[in-house]
Order: sequence, then C-alpha cells, then structure tokens
Amino acid sequence: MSNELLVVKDLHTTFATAGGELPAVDGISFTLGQNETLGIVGESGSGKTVLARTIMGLQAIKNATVTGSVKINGSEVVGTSEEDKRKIWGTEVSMIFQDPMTSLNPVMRIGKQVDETLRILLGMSKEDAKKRAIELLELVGIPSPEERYEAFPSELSGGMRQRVVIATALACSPKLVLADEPTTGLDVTIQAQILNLLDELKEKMQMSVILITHDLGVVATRTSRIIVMYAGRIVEMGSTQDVFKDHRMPYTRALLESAPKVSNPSHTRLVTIAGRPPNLLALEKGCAFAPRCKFATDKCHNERPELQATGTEGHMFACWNPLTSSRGDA
Amino acid sequence: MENRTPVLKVEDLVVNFGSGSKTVSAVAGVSFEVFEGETLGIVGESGCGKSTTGKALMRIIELTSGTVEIDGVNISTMSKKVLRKARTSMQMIFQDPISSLNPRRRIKDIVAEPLDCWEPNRPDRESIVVDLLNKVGIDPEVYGNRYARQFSGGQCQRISIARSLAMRPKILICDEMVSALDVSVQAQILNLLEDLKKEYGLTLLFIAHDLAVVKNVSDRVAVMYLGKICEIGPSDQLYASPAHPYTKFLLGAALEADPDSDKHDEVLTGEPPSPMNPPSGCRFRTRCPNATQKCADEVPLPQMVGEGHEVACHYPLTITRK
Amino acid sequence: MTKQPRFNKILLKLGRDASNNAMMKPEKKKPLGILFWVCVGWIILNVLLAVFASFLPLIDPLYQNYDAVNSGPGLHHLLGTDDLGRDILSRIIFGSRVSIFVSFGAMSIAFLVGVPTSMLASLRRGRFDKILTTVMYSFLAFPAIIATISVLSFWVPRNLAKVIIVVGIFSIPLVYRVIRTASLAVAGREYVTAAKVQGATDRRILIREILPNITPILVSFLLIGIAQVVALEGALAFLGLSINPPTPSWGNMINEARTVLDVNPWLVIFPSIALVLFILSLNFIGDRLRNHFDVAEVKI
Repeated sequence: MSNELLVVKDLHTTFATAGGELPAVDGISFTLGQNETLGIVGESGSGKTVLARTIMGLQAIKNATVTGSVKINGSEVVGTSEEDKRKIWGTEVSMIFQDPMTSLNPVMRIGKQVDETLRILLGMSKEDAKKRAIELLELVGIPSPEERYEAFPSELSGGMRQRVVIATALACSPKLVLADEPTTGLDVTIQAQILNLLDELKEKMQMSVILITHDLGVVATRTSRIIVMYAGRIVEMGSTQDVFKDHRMPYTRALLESAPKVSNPSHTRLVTIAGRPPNLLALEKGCAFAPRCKFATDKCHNERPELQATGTEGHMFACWNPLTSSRGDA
Repeated sequence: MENRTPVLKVEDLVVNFGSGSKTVSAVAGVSFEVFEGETLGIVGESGCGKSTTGKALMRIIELTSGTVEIDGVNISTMSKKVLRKARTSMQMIFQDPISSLNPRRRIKDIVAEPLDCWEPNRPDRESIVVDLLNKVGIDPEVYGNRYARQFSGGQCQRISIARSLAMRPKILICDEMVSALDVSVQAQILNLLEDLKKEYGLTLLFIAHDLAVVKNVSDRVAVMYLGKICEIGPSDQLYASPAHPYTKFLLGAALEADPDSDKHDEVLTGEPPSPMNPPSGCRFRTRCPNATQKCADEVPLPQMVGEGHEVACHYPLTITRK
Repeated sequence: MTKQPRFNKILLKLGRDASNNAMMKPEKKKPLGILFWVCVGWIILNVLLAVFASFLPLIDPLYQNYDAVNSGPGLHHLLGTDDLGRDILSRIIFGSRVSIFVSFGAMSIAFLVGVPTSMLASLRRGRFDKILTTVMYSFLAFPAIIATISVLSFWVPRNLAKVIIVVGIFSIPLVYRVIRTASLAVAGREYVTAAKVQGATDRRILIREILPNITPILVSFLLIGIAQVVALEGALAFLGLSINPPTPSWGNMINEARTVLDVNPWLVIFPSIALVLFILSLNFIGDRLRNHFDVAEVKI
C-alpha cells in the first residue's frame, strides 16, 4: 500500500454559523490507491459534498475551519495557499460537478473552454491546444467534435454538456477525479452512458475516481470500495461487496432497504427509517444515527462509536450494536 | 378486470406548445384508462411528455385536442367555471415540496384551503384539519401553527398530501412527488401513499422517471417516449418481459443497488430527437436497433401482446412467460 | 496572481457556494442595524413635524421680519432668514408638507392602480397581460419627468391636487413593471398552481398566495418610490411647475435662493440638507428592508 494517491487524515471542516459551530466533516480518515474507484454515499446533510470540496482545497473561506491533512500524490492541501492549490488543480486533481450549466460559461464556445485549460496549465500553443481539445471531445463521445468545438453550451443537451464538463476536467490528465453527483438530474439512459464513459476513461487515462452520490445504484457496480457517511462521519467503509452484502452498521442496511428495487414485485412494502437526516447543529453526544435507529441503547445515545475493524480487510464500521455478519465471522 | 369501470378515461390527448413551424408536440395522441382503486404509473425520460400529460388532465395546461373523462363526464371542453367545481374530484401533488406550499401561511390554513374555497365556515373545519394532519404523520398540536417554510422536504410533501385529500378526491395525480427527497424519506412517503390510497379508496396516476419507484407503487405502468405511450401493461409483467425495445433499454439502464447486477453493457446510444421535429412513423425508430423502412413509413398502432399488455411497435419483442 | 483557467475560478466560486449552502439553514437574519432605526426615526420625525406644523411654536413661514433679512443662523431664527426676512426653519418644516403630501399622494395613486393590475396580469397572463404590459411599457418609453413637466406646464392654475394626480399617474407604469416582475416569479410557483387546482378563485389567489409573498418588495419599493417623488417634486418646484409661491416647498426654496446664493448661502444649504437627508433615509430604509427580506435587486 505504498503507492497511495490520496491520504486523508482526521479531516474536520467546521462552519461558523449564527446557530453555532456546524461540523460538516467531522474527523474523516481514508486512503485511495492508484487507479481505484471509491464511492462516497450519503443522504443530504451527510457532508459528502463538503468532504469532496475540502479534499479539493475549496474550503479556504472565512467561515470555514479545516484541520487535519489531505495529501494528494504527496502534496498537502490543507492550510496551503490558493496559489499552491492552483498548481495541482487540473493536473493532479480535478472535479466534475452535478450541474453542467454552472460549470460551463454560457457565452463561450465549448472548444475554447476546453483548450483554455490546456493553454494555461500546460502552456500549449493555440493550434496544439485546439487539436488536443478536439481529441478530448471525441474521447468523451461527442459526435462530430470539429463542429461542436464551435458550439455554445446552450446548443447541447444535458448529457452532452456533462460530457464537455468531463472533457474540461480531464484535459490535463489529472491523477484523481472527484465526481460529485455527476449524473443526478440526467435521464436513466444518459446516466448509464455517462457512468460507462467515466469507467472507460478511468482505464484509458489511468486515474483514480471518487464517485460521490446519494444513489446506491450508481456505486454498486462501478466502485471497488465504498464509504457510507452520516452526519459528517464515516459510519461504514469497506469493499463494495462487503458494504452491500455484509454491512454491519444498521444505517447502511436501512439505506439499502429503503430504496425501491426494480427486481422486487410491485407493492413491496418498503422498509423505512423513522425520522429524518440529523440537524448538524444539534447532534447528540453519542451516535448521530441513534435517534433513528431501532437497535439504539443508552450507550448509543451517550457515547460516540469509533470506527472498528471487522475480520475482513479494510472493512470498518462505527456502531455499538452492529448487525451480525452474514458471513458469521463476528 | 373487465367489469371494472374506468374512473379516468383519456382519449387521444394532444398537447402542442407554440404554433407554426415552432410547434412543439409535447403529447401526441395518448389514450389510457385508469380503473377505480388502481394505480397507473407513467414512466419516461425528461421531455417524453409525462408531466405535461398530468398537467393537461388537470387542465393546468390547456389540451390541444382529445377528451378527458372523469366518471364519464368530459372535462376537456368545460368552461373554466364549471371546471373549477369538477376539479375537486381530482387533485395533484407536485414535484417540488418546498415550492408547493406558500411559505407565508400556517400549515393548518394550507391544509384547510380547499375547504375554505368550497365550504367556508364549515363547523368541523378544525377537526378535519387535525384529522388530516394526523393521517399524514404531522402532529397538529405541535406543528399546526407553524409556517410552511419551517419544514423539511419530506414534511412538506406530507402536508401537500393532507391538503390534496381535504376535499376527498377520487383521483390523485402525483407528479414526481418523491424525486426531490432523500431515499429514507422517499420510502416513508411511498408507504404513506399506499396506506392512504387504501383508506381513502383513491385512484392514483403516478408520474415519475424512477423505474423502481414507479414499479413499487403501480398496478399498471405506461412507458412514454417523445409524447407517445409505447407500452402499457401490468407492472410485474411489463418489467419482467418488456415488449417494446425502448422499454427494454430503459430497464437495462436502471441502476440496481446490487454489486452483482449487470453492468449496463447494452446502453441506448444517442439522445431523443427534438419534439419540434419528431421522426415520421415510429418516434423511437431513430435510436432503435430493429428499425426498418416500415417503421419510418407507418405509425405503429397499439397491439395486444398479453392480458392488458399493449405495445405500439411493428416488431414487438417476444414475450417470455414465466 | 498568475493567470488561471476559468475552470479553477469556477472551483473557487463553487467552493464559496458550498459553504454558503451549508450555513444557509441555521443562519439567522442579520439585525437591521442602528442606522436603519435612525433613518426610520428621522422619517417619522419629518412626517410628524409636517402634520403638526400648525400647532408648533413656529414663526409664521410667510411672516416677513424686515429687521433680520438674510441673517445667518442665530438665536431668534435658528436657521436664519431669507431675503424677505422669513424664518428658514419654519419654511423648511412647512415646505416638507408639500414634499410629503405630493409623494405620499402620488404613490398612493400609483400603487392603488399599479399593484392590482400588475398582479392580475401576472396571474392571468395571456392577452390581458400582453395588452396591459404593452401599454404600460410604451408609457415607460418616454421619460416620466418630461411627461410630467409638459402636462403640468399646460394644466393651469396649478395646485397640490393636480401635481399629485399627474405625478401619480405617470408613476403607475413604474410600479406596474416592478410589481409585475415580482409577482410573476410568485405566480410561477407551484403553490399558486396548487391553489388553482383546489378551486381557489383568482381573487383568493391574489390575496392569499401572491400578495403576502410580494409584500416585502411592495414596502421597499413604496419607500424608494416616495423618495423618488420627493426628488421629482423638488425638480418641478425648481422649474416653477409645482405649488405656487409664496407657499414654501423644499424645491421652490432652493429655486428662490439661488439668486441670492452669493449673499446668503444658508438659504440653499438648509433646504438642500433637508431634502437630501429625507431622500437618503427613505432609500436606505427601502434598501435595508429589501436585503433583509432577501428580495432580488429591482431597478427603478
């Protein structure tokens, strides 16, 4: 495990708000290897988006405090100047956003938006950059890229725009790509296209991908490992198989069971989790999930569980009353 | 099933936006029936006209042609005045839970709104509101006097449901009502909807893009593509053995939360054509791997491929029976 | 700073958005601030003085004290006297009556007509909206001040009521435009559609659903509108098109004083200060309220 691309250690992101300290990311540690795809799953308010942005180094704002360490390919992100972060943005680490409309300039031709990155970050000449930009557009599956090079974002459909965003993000061959809900808001058939494209590009360009989503279906077949987040903390982490098939944290199970499945007959009664996602400003001192958990005991309400290892390598969970393992090794 | 009466009957519904060369054909001849006490799901991708269909049934959007009958009464040609009254038997729940409630009104007034419109000064107004809020799992004692802006998405959707039930409608149209909610909250709302459907004897038209959600609540499902229904049938049968190539692709693209499921090797390529200039013949032919000249020349008519299972395709996929 | 691709700038912007989102919910509204309340106090004081001017121990604004012509500020005449020996303080207070009556009156007319029509247009849309909006916008096409000046110069003899009516009528399109935009945004919300579906009448929707949601913008625009009319009345008076002398108004005081500017600058300074402070306070209150209620920027 020496060639770790991303090392996150005890990361905290706290926002100072009028209602008090808001711990959006609350002590997160994990690592990511080369050429690996990691899924980060959570509901709204779980802190998954803030985590992604903190890893990018985007939280250096006056009301946010970041402590801990994020090392991308050896270089520290936390506490460094914006100037230093810009050196790694695009070339080491890049990000794909949910809404392509906010990350594309509506009045700029899409080709220019792709080759601008190439010219400035890689110092390419105008002609080379254009050539490479057209290659990139072709790579992300945009038909007739020479013509589309001259198009404006409004002339493209949502799926095509997301492809352009991907081309922009991958222009300088970053080693790590964070995709924050890259397919939310896209139609199912387009969603499948985009996810397949990401998979393909990951292999071609030898990069690592972090796929952040609320939809377990998105990460089920496309990741090797999964992190489940709740209230700013990791509640379970492990290989995709382990998390789906041998989860130990009741929240993970609840999340899996509450989503309707195409393979179930209609009118299957859904298993629900009582209550709703927690208010980060008024967390209990114990486990954040305790108020909604049917297995919760006094201990759960009073003491915060730390991540503990299971028998399986890399599989960890934070729970006082874990579910019994389906493999029977607990 | 044959002797049941349709509560809602839609025939050749057409909705066009704009005029002249810029006409957008949003709904292009949709016909279906919904029977008493059943749930019909309408599923499709954005731009397929499913939401427009729902809104045209309520006449929030004016329909260009076609008829909509509720209990045998044609509402498509009614004047606005008559329609106002007729509409109490059909209610609608919208996608955006927050935007569906006026942020500056108290929730008990929001729920009572239909009563205040139709039967003002009803002596049992309070008790009806309390009862409705209890039914949807909102404590009227604690929350009744709060403003709508203080609630989360899931709670807002509960309040919307309570409001829609105030006039005891027969038909409830749910337009993407859970798509803005978190999974755990979505499950609560879907279960609540099933319970209330039984209790109030509702007939549901459930419009959504999420295949799993639609299957979960529906007895029958209609799949729409570019303004037309391409397949309609009992949910379990339709999902198990789709007869229309589009349905098959759609199901193939659905993401299952299971690491052992298929990895979507066969994905539909390309994107839907513009509804401003739809293809001739079958509207799916430009992306269909089985398309022939016939598909370009003739519009496929719905044909029976099984009990209550109709498909609009010249070359329906063979139905595999279990 | 080194040159950076737009992509990175977007990253920064989105980073900020994310932190804003994260703190959006629990955030409480900022207090309005002490300056806001000072301004409110100033406006209330002005209005009270204007209303009760006759009951105050003031020197008659028309009384000419020939023993003290063009005297500067002093004990007897706090703000001094003008070239006819009239007390400036008293004239400013009585003069504010004209400004306040004209502005409140004109805005009442403009709002009483502009608000209901614009709300109805935004709800009904269609031909009703199209015709009304076209008419209103064609009025907006030529400047209200020129229109007001031309009408007032022909409609003689001038009095307070005529000034109020003319200014009020020419302000209707401005009110119409702002309120229509605001209520269009509200009318597009799903709760309005929901209300329609439940069978609420247009009237009910306007009062229950739309009006409460545009109230903040109504109030702040009303205040800013009043400020504009005060300024407009000043301009009209300066051109001699408002109320006739010798009745004082801030505008005609400044107008008369400019001839003796070299002898008695106070004569210009004091009414100008009164006018500016009044307008600034109104604008400030309106602005603050608009921010407070988080209403989008509206241009007048």
